[in-house]
Amino acid sequence: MAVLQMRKLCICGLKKERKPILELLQNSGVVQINKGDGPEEFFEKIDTQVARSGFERNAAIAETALEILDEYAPESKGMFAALEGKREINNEEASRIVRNRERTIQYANKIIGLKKDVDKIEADIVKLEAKLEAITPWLNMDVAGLTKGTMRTSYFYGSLPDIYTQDTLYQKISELGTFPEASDVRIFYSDKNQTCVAGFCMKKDEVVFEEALRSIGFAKPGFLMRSVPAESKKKWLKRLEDFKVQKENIQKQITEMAQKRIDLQNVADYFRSRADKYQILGGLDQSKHTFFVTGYIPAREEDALKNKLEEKYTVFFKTEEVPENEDAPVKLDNGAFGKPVEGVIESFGLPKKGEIDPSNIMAFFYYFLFGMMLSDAAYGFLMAIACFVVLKKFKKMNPSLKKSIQMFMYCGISTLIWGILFGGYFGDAVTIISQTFFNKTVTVPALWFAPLDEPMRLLIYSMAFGLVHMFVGLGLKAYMLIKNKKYLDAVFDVGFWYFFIIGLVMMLVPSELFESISQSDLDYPGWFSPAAYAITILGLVGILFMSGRRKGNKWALRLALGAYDIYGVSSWLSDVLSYSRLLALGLATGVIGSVINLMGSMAGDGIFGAIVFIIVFIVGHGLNMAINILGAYVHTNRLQFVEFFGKFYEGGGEPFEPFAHNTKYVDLSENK
Amino acid sequence: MGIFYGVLGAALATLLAGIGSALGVAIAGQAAAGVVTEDPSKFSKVLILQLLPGTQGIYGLLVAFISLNKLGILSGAPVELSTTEGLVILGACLPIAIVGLISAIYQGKTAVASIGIVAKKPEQFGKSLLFPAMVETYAILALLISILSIVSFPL
Repeated sequence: MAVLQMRKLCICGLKKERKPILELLQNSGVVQINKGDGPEEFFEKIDTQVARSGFERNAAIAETALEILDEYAPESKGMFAALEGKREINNEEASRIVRNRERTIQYANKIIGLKKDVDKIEADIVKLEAKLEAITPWLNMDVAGLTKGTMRTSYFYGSLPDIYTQDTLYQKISELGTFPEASDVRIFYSDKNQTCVAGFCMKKDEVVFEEALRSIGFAKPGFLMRSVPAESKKKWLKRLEDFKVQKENIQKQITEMAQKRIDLQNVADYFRSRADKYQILGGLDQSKHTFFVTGYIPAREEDALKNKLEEKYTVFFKTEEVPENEDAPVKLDNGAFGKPVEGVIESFGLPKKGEIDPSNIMAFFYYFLFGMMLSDAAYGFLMAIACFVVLKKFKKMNPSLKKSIQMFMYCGISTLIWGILFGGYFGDAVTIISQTFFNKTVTVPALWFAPLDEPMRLLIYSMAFGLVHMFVGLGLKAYMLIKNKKYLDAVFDVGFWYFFIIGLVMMLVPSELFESISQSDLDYPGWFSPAAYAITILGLVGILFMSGRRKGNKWALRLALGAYDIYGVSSWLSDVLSYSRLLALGLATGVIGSVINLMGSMAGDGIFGAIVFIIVFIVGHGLNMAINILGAYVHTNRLQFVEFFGKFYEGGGEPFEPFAHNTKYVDLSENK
Repeated sequence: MGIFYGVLGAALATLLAGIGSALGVAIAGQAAAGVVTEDPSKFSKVLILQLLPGTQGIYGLLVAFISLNKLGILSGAPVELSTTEGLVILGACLPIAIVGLISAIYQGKTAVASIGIVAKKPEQFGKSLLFPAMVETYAILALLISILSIVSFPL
């Protein structure tokens, strides 16, 4: 249970050495660097914007090239690729990346260039296809598009909006009577939208003829045709074919270039990391010959870093306690038991100043409650084994993913234990299988008791566990208050509540209501009931008078606040009831498991029955397991966040974000 | 007549809670699909959120199964039931049937809002799970009362 102790750090070094020093800091990845805020008359900041954007641009080029490669030559990734984590590289490889960086970026640019070519060709293809479609109606016209007529005649072609046959067209023309005598209009194409026609007349009648054509809606084609349409089409088809071949060639080139994918990934990370460095560099206070780094460092890393720095460079290295008025960034540090739930705590909020890291205690309850909700030994066993195998197989997994998987492994172990206690193995699979296929009844007895037989008993236990859970939360609040030397607050805000709640529980336990629910019939000693009243009243009065103590002598207000606080007991009631989900979800897993087994056994025994059973069993239990793991996860989180954290924990600490290699593909840090 | 009421109760638990879950999962699924079109990497997170309103249907099934078991229908030997006893089973099924129906729909709507959180701030996934889980609490309470009434009622 620990928040890593932070110290405030100050490094002063020679300006000429600032880049190697920053590199060292970045490699060690243990310092969170603040933006310099020294007085302006002494310090200046250098503008690194240009260099930085150059690096960022290069990183972006490499990323774009990688995206293109992913599109044309997708990497064949295994199902578990996400688990593999970042690649490690040795020094030799690292210096090779740096040496070849320009060449790799050129390579990336070439890929991007090729992609542009492909895009252009694709656009051309689309255009050409549009042209080919537009020309379709004119294919029957065996005159070149530019033809205007002969020496004496004029030639027009275009479309009419209505549908005509040659006869109806002639009829229309004769009805109009505006067409010149020596003219003709011939249809060579028609579809349901238009009729394409060619018209001839004597040169002298040209104007009249065109006017007459227009009166029935004649329009020239919206695009230019030069040669005979059929010939154009042939030419264009050929060109389309060429484009497609070209496109394929370029695509093949891109695909071939995918062999250098790893180089591109390396260089993207290299430039990203350098851009980070220059961003930090730009924020540092610098004087003419020196520069300053201020920030936070975990106390335990201090000496190592100091030695490393002083060994190589001329620096002044100093650390001090984090001042009262500053909030140090927070990093959790726990052993194997508590570490896995750090992710859950992070998702709620890191401990703020003065709060403790609840990881270890929460971890215990997390595993405990999760196991109780899932409570099937076989499910727990499968979960634990699956997580264990994944952890063994993928050692370099991303740390936060690793924590989750570890967490589920422990949850699986807890589920296994609870399953044995409650006698659940794939629901009631053992009983059903033995009955259906072996005509015997074998039951695995529950080590403790079977929830479905005695739900009330489990309900009482669920609430009791809930009470313990919340009491521990309240205890942690007292612990924090005592740690911050607020002894009276610990008595008033926690001690009285303990009295009050414990007294109420003691009053409830001997009552008829409770006895009928729990079917318990205990004899309580004579002092029990008076003691319960005494404790309750002590707590009640304490809260009533002391809750509003900050109001001093304004008694009316003070008592009103106290009374309001006492009303908070209703939230304790609802919180305790909330733990009934332990019973409900536990029963859900078991009963649905039994339903699945029953469905499987409906086909009877024999080979066919066995096959049906196996299929139903695998599919059914797979689904049941998935949905109940989800349920257990969500509701364990809820019990932790709302009921448990509600008693003592707020969160809101800033996470520790050290200056390090913030890479995507390659692990560049020294501390592995 | 008693057995009819008993089975009616089981049927209602499955029907209403199932309908609720189907509706809840459906609206959450539409929102989830929208997020995945923008960013396929959020698939697993939004899928978890989509599934949350699905539990009411399972609770309904659970209660139905317990009551059918109690009525002896599953073992093929129905219990002789008076009308009152049948009505008791029917009444016992109602909490999960009705609360399941309504809470699943509203949980679906809350899940949609939480999917919105994941779309904009995926790192807040842990918190976004809590809001729909709050709604579910009441379905769990209803389930509890249904189970306890059925199991504790002597037949």
